[in-house]
Amino acid sequence: MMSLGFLNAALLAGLAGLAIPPIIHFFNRRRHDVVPWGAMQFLEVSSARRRKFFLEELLLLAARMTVVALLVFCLATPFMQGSLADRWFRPSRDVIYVLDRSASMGRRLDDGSPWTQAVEKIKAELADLKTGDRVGLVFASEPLETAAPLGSDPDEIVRLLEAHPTPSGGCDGAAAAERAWEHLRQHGRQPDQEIVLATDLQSFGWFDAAAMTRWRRFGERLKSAEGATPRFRWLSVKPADGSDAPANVALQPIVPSRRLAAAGQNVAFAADVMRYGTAIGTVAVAFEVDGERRGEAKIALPAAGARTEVRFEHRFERSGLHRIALVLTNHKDALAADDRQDLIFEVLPELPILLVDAERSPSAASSTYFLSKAFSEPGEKNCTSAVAGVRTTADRLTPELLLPRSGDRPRVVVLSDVPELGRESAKAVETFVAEGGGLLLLVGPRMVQARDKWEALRSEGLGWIPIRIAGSVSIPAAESAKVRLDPATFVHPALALFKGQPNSSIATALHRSWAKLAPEGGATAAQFANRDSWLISHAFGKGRVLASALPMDSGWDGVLAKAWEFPVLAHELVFALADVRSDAFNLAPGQAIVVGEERIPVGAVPMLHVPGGAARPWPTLGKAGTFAAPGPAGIYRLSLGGGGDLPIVVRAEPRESLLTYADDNDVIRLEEAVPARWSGRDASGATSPPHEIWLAFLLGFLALLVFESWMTRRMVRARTAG
Amino acid sequence: MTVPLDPTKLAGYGRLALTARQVVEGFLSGLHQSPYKGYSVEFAEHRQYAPGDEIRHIDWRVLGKTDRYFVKEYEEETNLQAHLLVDASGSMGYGAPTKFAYASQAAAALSYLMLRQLDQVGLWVHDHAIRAALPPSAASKHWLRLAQMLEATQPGGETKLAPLWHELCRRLRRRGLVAIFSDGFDRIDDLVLALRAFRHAGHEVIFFHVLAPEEIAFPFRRLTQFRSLERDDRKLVDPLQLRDDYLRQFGAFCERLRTEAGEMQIDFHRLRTDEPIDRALGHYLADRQRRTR
Repeated sequence: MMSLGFLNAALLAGLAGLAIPPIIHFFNRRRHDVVPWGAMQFLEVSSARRRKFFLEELLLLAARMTVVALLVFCLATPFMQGSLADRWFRPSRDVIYVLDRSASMGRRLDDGSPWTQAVEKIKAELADLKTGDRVGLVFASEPLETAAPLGSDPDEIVRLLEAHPTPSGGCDGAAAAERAWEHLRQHGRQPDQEIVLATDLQSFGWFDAAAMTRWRRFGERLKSAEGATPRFRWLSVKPADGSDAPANVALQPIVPSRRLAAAGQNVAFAADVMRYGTAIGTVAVAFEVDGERRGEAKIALPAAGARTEVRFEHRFERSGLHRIALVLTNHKDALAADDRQDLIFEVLPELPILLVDAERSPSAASSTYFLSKAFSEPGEKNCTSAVAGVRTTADRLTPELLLPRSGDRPRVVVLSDVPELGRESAKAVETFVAEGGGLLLLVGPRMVQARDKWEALRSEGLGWIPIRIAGSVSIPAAESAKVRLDPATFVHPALALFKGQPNSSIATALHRSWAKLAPEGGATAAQFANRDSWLISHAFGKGRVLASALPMDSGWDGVLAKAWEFPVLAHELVFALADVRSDAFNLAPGQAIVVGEERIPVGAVPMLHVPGGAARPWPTLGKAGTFAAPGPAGIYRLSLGGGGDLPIVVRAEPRESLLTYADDNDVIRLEEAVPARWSGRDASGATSPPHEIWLAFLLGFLALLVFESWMTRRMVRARTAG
Repeated sequence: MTVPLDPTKLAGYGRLALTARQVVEGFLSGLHQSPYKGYSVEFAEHRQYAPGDEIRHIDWRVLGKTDRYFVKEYEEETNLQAHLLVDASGSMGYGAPTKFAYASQAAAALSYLMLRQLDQVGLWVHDHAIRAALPPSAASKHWLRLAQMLEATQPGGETKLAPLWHELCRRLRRRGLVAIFSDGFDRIDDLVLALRAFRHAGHEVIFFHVLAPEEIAFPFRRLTQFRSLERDDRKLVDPLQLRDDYLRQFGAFCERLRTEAGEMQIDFHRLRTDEPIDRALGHYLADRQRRTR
């Protein structure tokens, strides 16, 4: 296919000049001599000659008009587009296809999906390559992937595309375009370079506000870069009804009631169900644990744009990493990728914690006494507590206890009214928290008394101590002056059970003294009724710190010994702080896999099993135990040889469920942000670049001018020869 | 173009007359004998040869049969009747001078010559019909009348030579000389038939083919509208396109006319209007002189 156009179409008005030769001819015929003549009978021209003259005149007139036309066309800068034009005129080029591999490309359409359509179009273009053309392929996905470097065999690219599973995950169009551009700068050889953006033009990832910022940044780089800028071309597979959000129901990410559980604990898994477009009716959501269906719920779809929660509870009997899934069943809508959510959930046999007491010899009066009673001993059987607490004292707190070279480290450390920490221990605590550990800082009278030392630790540290101990509050014995905790101020997730319980023993306990804490880098997570801070929360590194103005000891007015809520509170607090390792298995798109060096046996070759594909060796990223991001959304498995298999979920990008598309104004705005030659905006038009052919018209003009001159002279000579 | 007459000049002969006389006088000054012999073409009888008779009159056939010398005698031995047919059709009005004016001069000169020899000269001015006629006569004022008739005539009208010549051929009782002054722009087949009729009738025919140089060379280059001098006919042509065909057709016409005339033993002579009349006629008369010796 081929089309012809003109870059300066306004100059085609010059075609009015086509009338000039006939007008001149007409006026010439009007100007004639008049001769009275006698030999009229000899003024007859033979029909053959007359025909010859007529044809010559016609040919000459046609030549003259064509000369004018060719000149006009030449000035109007004609161009040709299309595969045929590419074959004739296009020089060899380097072209990189940037193919959108986000979930929206898997949208169900009457004729396949945007992905299949894009693949077919790319295959068709690859079949039309000229000798000398070099192609490459970059997937616009999270993470970015250079699927085929420039110069790859087109057949290999075709095979790669045909074998590719359904696209998933999100997309960063600007980053992908930038990657393609950098690749061209490094490896491009041809003067003609092109980047083809094959996408469904979904707003998210290409045209939303964040994406436009990235495009503008890329545009600035282009502007300041040396060398020619490649051409950019849209290869749009925008659905025909891309202007309206189609009917789609999407599951949002699973939110567990706790981030970590112990065997025997109930955990609730909830997810929002979003409705887009005109989908109506009810949907069924299945709950799966490790591939087995454990429940199903039918829910009525919410109003468009609204969400409804679906919730399941499960009791894990077995410790380990469990794969949780919520799946929309018996349902077919525009996008299949958001009909399922997965989560890797860690279940521990017991939660190991370290209780650090100020007393050298723990007793019932020790600050950790009640806590240790709330928890079990490590390995203790027939114990209802999922927390195994190891008690130690501050003077025996060594880095080895916090950060053992081998074996499991505690998930939470409780510093219970510890007045002083040695520098080494303080450093170890800081490292422990930074690497993901949880710290419960129970501030009691000893810490208040040694607050200067704690202030010194805070100022010397990197910010793991979120409080400044201002002093203490002590209320005289009169009951009316005692202060309760205010459940209405409980914002910390660990206090969720108690938030709506104003009559619980936690809420009704009266307190006469507490530490006066001021947040320094932390945020108040719960308060007394007099608005003094009770709990101050802080995230440090990968870990969390919770500071309490109340030690969890006998100072709780006997509540701790009597109330059943105390063990619950203690468990909630330590579970909320626990080092959740399952973050290493629930990845955001583009996030690296970090499993820890100690998990990898010596000499093992880690293999990554990709969704729907074969396993392949997976390289580390610099540091041992850190691996490159696995790929787009889906369920992976990292085999560590003797170290076992680790399930990995790369979360889907929920914004891919919003199937809204860019319009022409959006595309124009993007093209203006990136200073380059753009084409292909009109998907129904030609997708090949325009090839200027004014030179051919100029040569034709000159040739025809020579011919016209020659023919005129020939005719005059012939007619005057007699 | 008409030749203006001034009867008061030079014994009232007018310019045409004067020119014609000058032509003839000029010719005669170099020659002593008229190329036109004073004998009619009509044979009367034989008589025995007497010394002094011209040897060319001896009938050699009789000598061969009888071995005796006899000369042929003719009816009017010294009086030739010449008929001048001057074409005055529209086409003869072309040129400067017009072909008619030129033909008139030639006709007047020729008639002057003949009248000096005491031959009778008649004049027929015609287009498709006779416009003016003067019966043959040798009278002294006849020539003046002839010149005046020619001067008074303006060319015009259609050319239909052949029927008229047939008609004239029937009218001419005596054999004589028929001198035709015409461009011959008629159907050539008809012309040839008409000329043949003159020859069958025993007349000696001289055809003066009067043409303008433009008609011969067709020098036109610019786009030209040719308007017929005889009819309401116009043609807008590019002469450059037309020229080859015109020259071919015209040449073929002239050549055919000459060839047919030659076959009929008709004296055919082209008169170009750009050639001085005295030279043109002089050449002809000298040529005839040589041929009749």
